[in-house]
Amino acid sequence: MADPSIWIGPPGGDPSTPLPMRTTVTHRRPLSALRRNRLMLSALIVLLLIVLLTVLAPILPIHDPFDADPLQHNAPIGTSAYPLGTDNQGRDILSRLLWGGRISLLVGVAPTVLATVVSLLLGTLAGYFGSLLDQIIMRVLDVFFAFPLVLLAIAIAGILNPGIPTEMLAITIVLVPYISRLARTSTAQVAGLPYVEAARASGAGTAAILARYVLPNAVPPVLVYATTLVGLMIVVGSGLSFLGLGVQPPAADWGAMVGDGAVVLRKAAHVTILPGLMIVVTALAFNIIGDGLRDVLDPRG
Amino acid sequence: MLNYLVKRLVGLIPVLFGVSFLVFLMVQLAPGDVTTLLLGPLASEEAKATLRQALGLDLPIVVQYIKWLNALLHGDFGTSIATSRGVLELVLPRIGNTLILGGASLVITVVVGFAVGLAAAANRGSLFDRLSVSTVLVIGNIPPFWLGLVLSLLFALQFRWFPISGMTSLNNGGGFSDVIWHLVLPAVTTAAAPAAVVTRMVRAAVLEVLRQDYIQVARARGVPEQTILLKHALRNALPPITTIVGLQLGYLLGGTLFSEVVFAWPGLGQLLYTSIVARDLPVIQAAVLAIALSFVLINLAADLTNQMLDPRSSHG
Repeated sequence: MADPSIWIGPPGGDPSTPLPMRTTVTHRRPLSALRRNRLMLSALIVLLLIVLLTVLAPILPIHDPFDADPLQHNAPIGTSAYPLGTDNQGRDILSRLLWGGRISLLVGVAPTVLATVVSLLLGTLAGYFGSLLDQIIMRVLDVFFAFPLVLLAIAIAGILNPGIPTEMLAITIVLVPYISRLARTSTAQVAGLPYVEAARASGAGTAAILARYVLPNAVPPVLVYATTLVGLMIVVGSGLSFLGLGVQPPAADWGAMVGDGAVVLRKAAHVTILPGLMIVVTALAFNIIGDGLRDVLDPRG
Repeated sequence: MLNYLVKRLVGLIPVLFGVSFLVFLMVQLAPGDVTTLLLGPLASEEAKATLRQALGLDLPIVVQYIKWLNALLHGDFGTSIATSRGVLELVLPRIGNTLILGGASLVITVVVGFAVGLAAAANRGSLFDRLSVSTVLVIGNIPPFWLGLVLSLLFALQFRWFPISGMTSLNNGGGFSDVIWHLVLPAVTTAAAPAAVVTRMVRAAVLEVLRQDYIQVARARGVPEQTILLKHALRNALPPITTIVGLQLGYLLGGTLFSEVVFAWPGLGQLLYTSIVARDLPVIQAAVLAIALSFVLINLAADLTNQMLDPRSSHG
């Protein structure tokens, strides 16, 4: 859609200012380019901070995430030695948030990466070779589109043995149809272009054509789309853990921590609220970055 | 229109076969042995083999699928392992409850999405516009289960405006207003994220139309702004918006599961969740199948609505 680099209208989108000439690209997105860039930068900083803190969790001077203090159950925020309080079993919430963040981020990012690789393969096969193979792949994917994404993930994770690998497998499976469809469209667009025909006519091998002409054009939109999906997948993954289908106790990601806290919602709301806030902030940061990337890399939207 | 309907219905047949096969396969992939589950860990190999034969588990997988599908088509969905009740009698009453929750959430999604999106577009750049844009960005990323807990903390535990769970009150419950009272929190929980997406899309689509030449012409001719907004802009922005609403239905239906679990709303999602916890495979199978079927039908309805609003879209 709007490419910030060629936006020449007034920043801020003052309604009283007449729109620029219709021949220019106007910003269709909710936020102006300038504010969007600043927003994207803040999102990036917040995300880097979260990633850094969770990665460094093992060497930071914090409690062990599994150490239960028998004298401090559901301690409130600001308790000495427990800056963010403790949970129902007396475990340090700060420590559990950082250790849990490692799992939440892994479950959001890894399946998206894996699904992107599988989808590029499937989408390229369908889009480039077309005909029968295309028909078979797309009809099979149609079946997956008949399920609401979240429910399919829950059903898959619910039938297999619960755990982090199951959770990641379930999310990967539900993502593949969506990313594959885009990969196929991008591939098919390029595959029919004259310069690809020319390369074929001049005797270039299929592998060379795919590597040199097709993939470079198909990959960027797929990557941008995948980036916008990471935030949602963190939410979906935390949902699976909340239901007890993902990571198993005593380990917990943010979703499982929300589930643990629900039992003591009335007397210690912070046990539930804090991990939820982490999910919202992280997913939001990923979404802002994804939107920004889409504007920069894929002006056509 | 009729051609389109027939084409869509015929196109559904392979999808429905695929859906049923996938649901069938899913259960085959479940770890653990059904005979152990039914007979207990102490059963002899001989007894297991006999049961395996009796259940037809020794047959090729395609034959098993055909037999299973045939039974489904005759209304035989099997027996719940956990409750020993017929699966169909467990699933059927849940469908209506989920549709009530899903329908109410859809109404909230559409009403809020249109009202806020339209108001934001009409007052572009205003404080209201900027506030709604940022609010929508945040709400779109809130996990439904957490929102449900926060809402119940505030409005059920703190202020006691709404009940904390269930669909009806124990005393004198079950009336229309009683169900609505129980419905508010779960429906708002389910609707929040989809409403945020729809708001964003309505705003974008209306702004897009407002930029067109014919709107400028109408303005120049002195057509009142309100008429321009409601009659021209909204009318022409509708087709892309209904497509987005259609896409949000899947997310909305997924969200009902979390609301149902958090608020103990007796719907399909809650049934699916409790049968997953109990490893009640026949019920899981039927619940997933019921959800997929509802989703396919809802999508069909959304496409038909689109088709009526914008006949050009049939060639998509």
